[in-house]
Amino acid sequence: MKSFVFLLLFLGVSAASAHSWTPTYFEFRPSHLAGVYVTEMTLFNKREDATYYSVEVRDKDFNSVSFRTTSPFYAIEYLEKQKIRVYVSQKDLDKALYICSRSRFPAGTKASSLVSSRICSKVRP
Amino acid sequence: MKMKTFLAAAVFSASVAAENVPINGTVEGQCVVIPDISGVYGNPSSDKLSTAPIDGGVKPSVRFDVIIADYYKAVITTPTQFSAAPALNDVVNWTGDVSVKEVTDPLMSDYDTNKVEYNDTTEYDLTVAGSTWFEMGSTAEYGYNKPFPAGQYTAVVEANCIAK
Repeated sequence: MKSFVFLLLFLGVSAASAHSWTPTYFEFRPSHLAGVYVTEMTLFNKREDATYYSVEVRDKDFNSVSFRTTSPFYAIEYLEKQKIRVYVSQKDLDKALYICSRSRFPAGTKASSLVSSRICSKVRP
Repeated sequence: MKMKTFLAAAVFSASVAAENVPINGTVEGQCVVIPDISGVYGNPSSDKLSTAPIDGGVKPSVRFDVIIADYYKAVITTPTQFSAAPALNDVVNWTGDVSVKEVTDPLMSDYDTNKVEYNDTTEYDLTVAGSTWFEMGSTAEYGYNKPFPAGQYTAVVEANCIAK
């Protein structure tokens, strides 16, 4: 019983404020629009201190690649999971190596030191 | 005869059903970034803000969990500007450092030896599955013996987990 209580406490602490972005390796497939490819990512917000997330598509040197999602920023409540479709045109398909999600803080957030988390998935080799 | 046929059919259908219940699973790498401790700037002198405990600060720390070894690298950038601060009219000189604070596997003990540092960024190759806690130090010094204006200061540490 003691170990069970400890495990619950440990899980509670470890899951207190995390951000996960899956899958690790994504694949683009043709979308319903000609010349446009799509992939679906999942963002799970387990950060109590962060609600806003943005999506980025990057090339091999981490330069920005043009893409579209349904929104430039996503408000994802604590413990909410959201599927996000990322659209890339055929001409940018070869450049789109990473898709990242980044936690954002509203301008003027008051705290001494904040941690912005960014997780980047990579195109399936 | 009818009974035998029925039984045969029942046995056949049961065996077919039993053989068609696949359980598929895929194990993929996953990285979870968990801010552990929010840092606090201490103010040991009027022109300095520092997260060092000796200066009255608290170092922020962040935990990276990777399920499978060698799928991700941790890239941590210490602040080079304030995200919120009173109006400043002189240069702020920034220094930062990142180090491993705790690990769940002894094989991670050489992470600090193998880290790559450039500009204000430190990269760690997450070659072992498990959890690693990193702590970040940040110091901001204002102008030449100029006091920081009174007010609230906020800076952001960037913790990136990038698939390899």
